[in-house]
Amino acid sequence: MDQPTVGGDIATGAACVVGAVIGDFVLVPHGVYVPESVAGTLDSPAVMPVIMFTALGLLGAVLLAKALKARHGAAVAAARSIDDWRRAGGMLAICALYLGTIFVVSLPIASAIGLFAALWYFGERKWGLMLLVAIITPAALWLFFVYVVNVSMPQAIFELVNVYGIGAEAMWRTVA
Amino acid sequence: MNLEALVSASALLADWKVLLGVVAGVGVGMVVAITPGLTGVMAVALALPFTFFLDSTTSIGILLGIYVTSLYGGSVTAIMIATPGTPNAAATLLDGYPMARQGRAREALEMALYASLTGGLISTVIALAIFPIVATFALSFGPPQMFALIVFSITIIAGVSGASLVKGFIAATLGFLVATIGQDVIHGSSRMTFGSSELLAGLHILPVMIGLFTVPEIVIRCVESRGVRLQAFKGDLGPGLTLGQYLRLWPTYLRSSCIGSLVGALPGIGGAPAAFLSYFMAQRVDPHPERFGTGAIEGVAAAESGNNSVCGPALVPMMSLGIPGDTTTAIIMGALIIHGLAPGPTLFASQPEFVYVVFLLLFVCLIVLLPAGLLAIRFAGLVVKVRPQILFPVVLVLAAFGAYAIRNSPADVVSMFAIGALGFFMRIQAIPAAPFAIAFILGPLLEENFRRSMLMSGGSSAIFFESALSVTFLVLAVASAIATVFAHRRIAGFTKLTSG
Amino acid sequence: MKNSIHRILTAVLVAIMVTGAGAVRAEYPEKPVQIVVPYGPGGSTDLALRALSSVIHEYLGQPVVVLNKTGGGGAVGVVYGLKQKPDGYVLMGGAIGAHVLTPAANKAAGYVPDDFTPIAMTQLNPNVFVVKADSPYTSIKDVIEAIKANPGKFKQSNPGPGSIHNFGFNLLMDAVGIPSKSVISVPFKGGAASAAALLGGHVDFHQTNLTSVIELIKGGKLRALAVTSPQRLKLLPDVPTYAELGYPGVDIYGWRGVIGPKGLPQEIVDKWAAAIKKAQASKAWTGLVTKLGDEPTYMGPKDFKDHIDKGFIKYRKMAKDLGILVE
Repeated sequence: MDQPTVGGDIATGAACVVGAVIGDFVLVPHGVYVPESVAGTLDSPAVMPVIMFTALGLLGAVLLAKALKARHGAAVAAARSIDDWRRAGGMLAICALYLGTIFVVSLPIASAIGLFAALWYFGERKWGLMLLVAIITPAALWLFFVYVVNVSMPQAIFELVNVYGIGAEAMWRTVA
Repeated sequence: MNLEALVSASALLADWKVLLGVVAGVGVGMVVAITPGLTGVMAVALALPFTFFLDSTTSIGILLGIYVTSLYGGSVTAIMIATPGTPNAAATLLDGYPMARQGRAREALEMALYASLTGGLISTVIALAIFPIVATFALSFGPPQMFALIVFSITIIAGVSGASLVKGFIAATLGFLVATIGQDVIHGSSRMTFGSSELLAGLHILPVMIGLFTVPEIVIRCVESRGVRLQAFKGDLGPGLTLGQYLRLWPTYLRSSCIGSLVGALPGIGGAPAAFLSYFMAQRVDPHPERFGTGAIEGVAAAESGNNSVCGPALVPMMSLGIPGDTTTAIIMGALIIHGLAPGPTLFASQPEFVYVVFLLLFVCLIVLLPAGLLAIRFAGLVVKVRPQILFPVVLVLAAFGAYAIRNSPADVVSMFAIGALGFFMRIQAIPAAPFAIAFILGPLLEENFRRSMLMSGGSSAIFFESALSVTFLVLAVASAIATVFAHRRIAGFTKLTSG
Repeated sequence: MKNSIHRILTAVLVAIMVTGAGAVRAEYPEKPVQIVVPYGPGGSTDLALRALSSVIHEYLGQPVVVLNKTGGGGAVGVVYGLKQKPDGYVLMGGAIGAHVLTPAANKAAGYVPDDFTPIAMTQLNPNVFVVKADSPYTSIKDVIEAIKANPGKFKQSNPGPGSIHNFGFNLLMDAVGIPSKSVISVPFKGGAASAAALLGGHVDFHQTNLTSVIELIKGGKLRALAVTSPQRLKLLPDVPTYAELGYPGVDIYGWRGVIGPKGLPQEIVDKWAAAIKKAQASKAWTGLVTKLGDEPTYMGPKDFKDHIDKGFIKYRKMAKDLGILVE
C-alpha cells in the first residue's frame, strides 16, 4: 500500500492547499496570541506560522500541478484497492477508539481492550493466547511504570478537561 | 596534558565501588533507553537522589553510565520494532529497520553498537585534545552564528529526500508547523494551543517520532496481514557483522564523530540532530545515495556514531565554565554541586584531576557498554520469535504507555496518535518522514535565533555578516545548496534509469 | 443459594464499614506523597525539592517523590498541581517564578495566588547583577550612565519576559528612572543559555540568581556589581547591595517552598509546616541547601501567604507598566 499513486498525489496536493488556506485565515488569527506591541512587525509570533502555511499551500499547488500533468501523460500507476483502504481505515479506527477509551476508563484497561481488538484485527484467532497477552501486557507495563519508574498513569476523567482545551472560547480570541 | 593530575585521577577510579556504579548506570541506562517513553534524562533524574549519599566519583560513574548508554540503547527497539527507544535513535531506524526486515537484524544491531562505541571513543579523545578551546568556541556561538549554522545544516538535509524535492519540502513545512504549537520563546504568547495548558510546553519529540515512524508501520503491516500470515523476520537475527564490514566504514565514523562533537559542544541542541546530520552527511558523500532508507549499513553507522559523539564534548563547557549543554548535563552538574564540586573555572583550576576523572570514567563507561550491548542484542533475539500478529499490537500499546510516561501528559498520547495518522498518509504517498523530524527539531531553533538576532541588531540583517563564524556558515550553506541541486539531479537520473 | 448471597452481601457491607471507618481515623500521610516540580530535572528548584524530599521523609513518616512537569514558565506544573484533589498527597514545589511571576505577567496562565494554599517557604536565593570580567563597568553607577548616554545600544539576556531575571532588571530601570525600552531585552531558553550569552559577549548585562553564576564570579569570568539581598552576602563581601546604593526597591529574590492546592485541610498544612521546620534544623538539609547556593529560611503558612500575595500585586502592576502583560 505504500507505493504512491497519481490520484494520491492529487489528493495530497489539494489537501495541502486547503490546509494552507485554513491555516492562514483561521488557525493563525485565532490560535496565535499577538501582543499589541509587535502586531504587524517581523517580530510577531504569527510570522513564521503564516510563512510556513503559505509555503505549504505553494508546494501543494506545485504537487497538484505535477500530478494533474502526469495523469494525462504516460502510464499511470495502479490505484489502490478498496480493500486495502478498508483495512487501513479499520486499523486507524481501532487506534482512535483506543485513544478515546484511554480517557474514559484509564490507560491499562483501555489498553487491554485495544490490544485484544488489535490482535483480532491482525488475524490472530487463538482466543486463549489473545486474552493472556491482552491482560498481561498492560498489567506488566503499568506495574513497571508505576512501581519501578515511579511515573503515575492517567486518571481518566480528570485529563479529559485538559486535552480538549480549558476554555474552548479562547479559540475565538481576536488579534490585538 | 597534566600527568600528575592524570595519575591522581586514575587512583580515584581504582575503587570497586566506582566500577560497580558504572555497571549499575549502564544497566539502568540500557533498560531505560530500550523502553520507548523512558529517556536518559528521566533515568538520570531518577538516579540523582540516590547519588546524594554516595561519594562523588561513584555518583559521576553512575550518571555517566546512564548518559552514555542512553545514547545507544534506543537503537535496539528502533531496529527491531521500528520504535525509537529514545529520540536520538530515530535516524538509526531509517536504515536499521529495513535491514531487520531483510533478515539482517544482527548486522544492524552490532553495527549500531560498534559505531556507538567508536563514535564515543573518538569524540572523547577529541574533547580531551581540544579541551581548552571547546568552551570558548561554544560560547562564541551567539544567536546570529547559531542561525547561520542551522541554515547550513538545513541545506545539507534538504534535497536528499529521495526523488521528489517537493514532497521533501512539504514534509519539512509540516514538521515546522507542528513545532510551532506551544509557547513563543520571545514573547511568551501561546501559539495554536487553543487554551490547553498541557500544550503550552509544545509537543515532545518522542511521541512525534513514534507517530511518524512506528504507527504508520503498524497500520501498513495490518493492511498486509489481510488473509495472509505475516512474515516480518526470517526466524533469527541473521548473520553478524564481519570485521571487514566494520573497518570499511572508518571514514563514516570519523566524519560523524566530528559532526556529533560539534553539535554536542553547542548548548541546546543534543543527540537527535547530531544523529540526523551525520546520517544525511553520509548520504550526501555516498556514491549511491538512493540506497539510504532501504537498508544501507552506512546509515546505521553514521547515525549511531553521530549521536554517541555528543556526550564527551557536551561535558566540556559544563566542566570548564559550569554551563550545562543540555538537560542531562545539567542534572549531572546538579549531582556534582550537591557533592560540593561545583563545576566552573575555580574547580577546573584548583582540582584539575577532576576533569581527568570525568573523561576516564567516560572511557570506562564505553568499555562496559560493549558487553552490555551484546547482552541486549541477545535479548533482541527473543523479539524475533514473537509472531508479527502479536508483536505489532503489543508495540502499539507499549508506545501509548511510553508516550504518556515521558511527561505525564495526556497531550503526548493524543499527539502520538494524531501525528501517527498524519504519518500514515504521508507514508502511503512517499512523503518522507525524516525531513519532518528534522524540521520539527531545527525549525524552532532557526526561528528563535533569527528573531533574537533581529532583536539584538534592532532589525538590521547586517548582524549576520558581522562575525566571521556566521559568514563562514552562510557561505557554506550557499555552496551546499548549489551542490544539492546537482546531487538531486543525480538521484533523479538514477531513478529514471532504473524505472525505464 | 439465597443464604450464600446473604453471606456475601454481609461480608461486603462489613468490609466497607470497616475500611470506611478506618479511613476516617487514618493518620496523614498513609502513603507516599508526590511533589510536583514545575521545572525540569537538574534545575535549581528541582534540586532544592529533591534535597528536601531526601530529608523530610524522616519527619513526615512517608517517602516523598518528586515529579517534574515542565513548560510555560512553570504554568504547566502549577495547573497540574492545582487540579489534584486537596488531600495532601500531591503538593507543589513552590518557586517565585512559577507561582508569582508567571501568573503576574500572563493572565492566560490560568491561575492566581488565591488558588493556592501556601504551606511554608524553605529557602531564599538572592539575585546578582553581573557583567563580563573584561567589561569597562565597575559599578552600577557606570552602567546607568552608559545606558542613559546610549539608549537602545545595550542588551541584557534573560530566560523569558516573565522571568525573575527580566523583572529584576526592570525593577532597576524603574528605580533609576530609565525607560525600559532603553535596554534591549533578549530572551533565551533557560538560565544557562542566558548566562552563556553574557559570557560569549553577545549581550552586555545579566541579572540572575546567585547559584547560577557564583562559580563564574569566583573564577574571575564575571564581575558582580550589586546584589538584591537586604545585607551584603558572606560569599561576596565586596559587592554592595541595591539598598546601599540607594535603590531599596530592587529587592527581588528567588524563593522556594511547598504549596498546596486550594482547600487543603489545615491539619495537613500544619503537619507539613512542622515537618519542614524540623527538617530545617537538621544539618543534612542545611548542608545540601547551602551547597546549592541557597540560604535556608523558614516562613510559616500565614507569612508565606502574605509574601506571595504582596509579590503578586507588585509584579502584576509592573508587568502592566512594562507592557509585557499577556491577557
